[in-house]
Amino acid sequence: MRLFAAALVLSLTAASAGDFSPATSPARMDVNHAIAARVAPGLYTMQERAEALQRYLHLAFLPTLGQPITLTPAAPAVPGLAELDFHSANVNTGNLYITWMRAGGEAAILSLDPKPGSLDNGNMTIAIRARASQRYDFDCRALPSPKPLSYSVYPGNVSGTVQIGQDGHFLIAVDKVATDRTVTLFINQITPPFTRSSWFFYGCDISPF
Amino acid sequence: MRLLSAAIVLSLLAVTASAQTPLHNLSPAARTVRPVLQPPHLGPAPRLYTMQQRAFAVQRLLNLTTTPALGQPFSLNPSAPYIAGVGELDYGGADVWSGDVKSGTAGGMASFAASGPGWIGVLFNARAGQRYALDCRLMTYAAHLDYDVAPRMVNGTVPVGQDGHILVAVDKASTDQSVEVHLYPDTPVFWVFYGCDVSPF
Repeated sequence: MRLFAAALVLSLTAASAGDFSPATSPARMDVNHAIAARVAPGLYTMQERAEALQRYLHLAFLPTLGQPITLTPAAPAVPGLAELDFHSANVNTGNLYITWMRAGGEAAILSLDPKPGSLDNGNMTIAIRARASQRYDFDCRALPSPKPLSYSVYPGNVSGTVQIGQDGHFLIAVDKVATDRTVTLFINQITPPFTRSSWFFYGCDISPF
Repeated sequence: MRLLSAAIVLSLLAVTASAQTPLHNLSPAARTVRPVLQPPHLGPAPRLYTMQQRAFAVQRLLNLTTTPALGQPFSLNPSAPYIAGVGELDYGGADVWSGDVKSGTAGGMASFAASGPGWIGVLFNARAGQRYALDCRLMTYAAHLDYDVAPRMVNGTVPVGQDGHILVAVDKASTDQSVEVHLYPDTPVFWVFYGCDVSPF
């Protein structure tokens, strides 16, 4: 027992006082307070999701959506089937430390453009194993965004922009592929040169239709 | 059906005036962002310890005269970073490959650029009177990582083993409390994280 205590004390006092400490850094505290102040967008029902897709694609009829795959920062992967990937992001997956945080977690994605043409923008990708001849509706939730998001779909390098709605949802439709294969959706915030801002991501429900 | 196809083609060509903007109308910065579609190529991830190996590692870490009896661990990794009411992983400044679709690694991986102050946070509900051993797997050229334990305001340095494991022991508290252990290098170095197993003892 004494040995244990001695080893622990030794290891716990080894660092110098000036070391970087993420837990107590002002930036981390700011992040925590900001998380507490945000209200995550609610989930759509299947009916609401179908209606949103109908509006988005200007369809004459309500599309029939299949069973969705749900990905969130707390449950970001379905093995062999789908995953969320984040780049230059701060990701809080749960609600232990910030006890009032919503279920599902939150990813804060920093959009930073220190100089035009640089590659430092935070972004995220969603990869799915797409079935041949199947279209997919990505119903995603995020805050805030006065600025639009840009997206690209690979393979195909199909690109566009999308605005997060008042209810915190944005939709992207991915067209069918010829054979079963991995399809990757790349999303980032459009940031003017020399500016920085963050956007906050809560999850996607991905439905075949 | 034709209507549907037409609408989809239109949306994917990004020419729908109401919601989309042609690429040539985007700012220069938006156009020059390159997607990161694949994780960095690395060797195989460090292997998990058996319970026996983990107990020996804790014994070595703490210079114990006997092998400690470890309780059932809970595991957190980028694919399964959250267990309700038990524990979670948080990341700062990370590139997170959550699943095996892209990384080809069961459990996923999180990589950290040498240029940024990236960190991993392992949060869990610690029971009163219980010690915990964190056994984490990573690949790095750093010889050691720094850690701190919040809210206890303790910190230190732990060596990175040749086998890609690092161990941190968290001492017991008198009451149940949420504990957050942060891991981070103190020098600019690229590192990759695969997961932690947290065992009471």
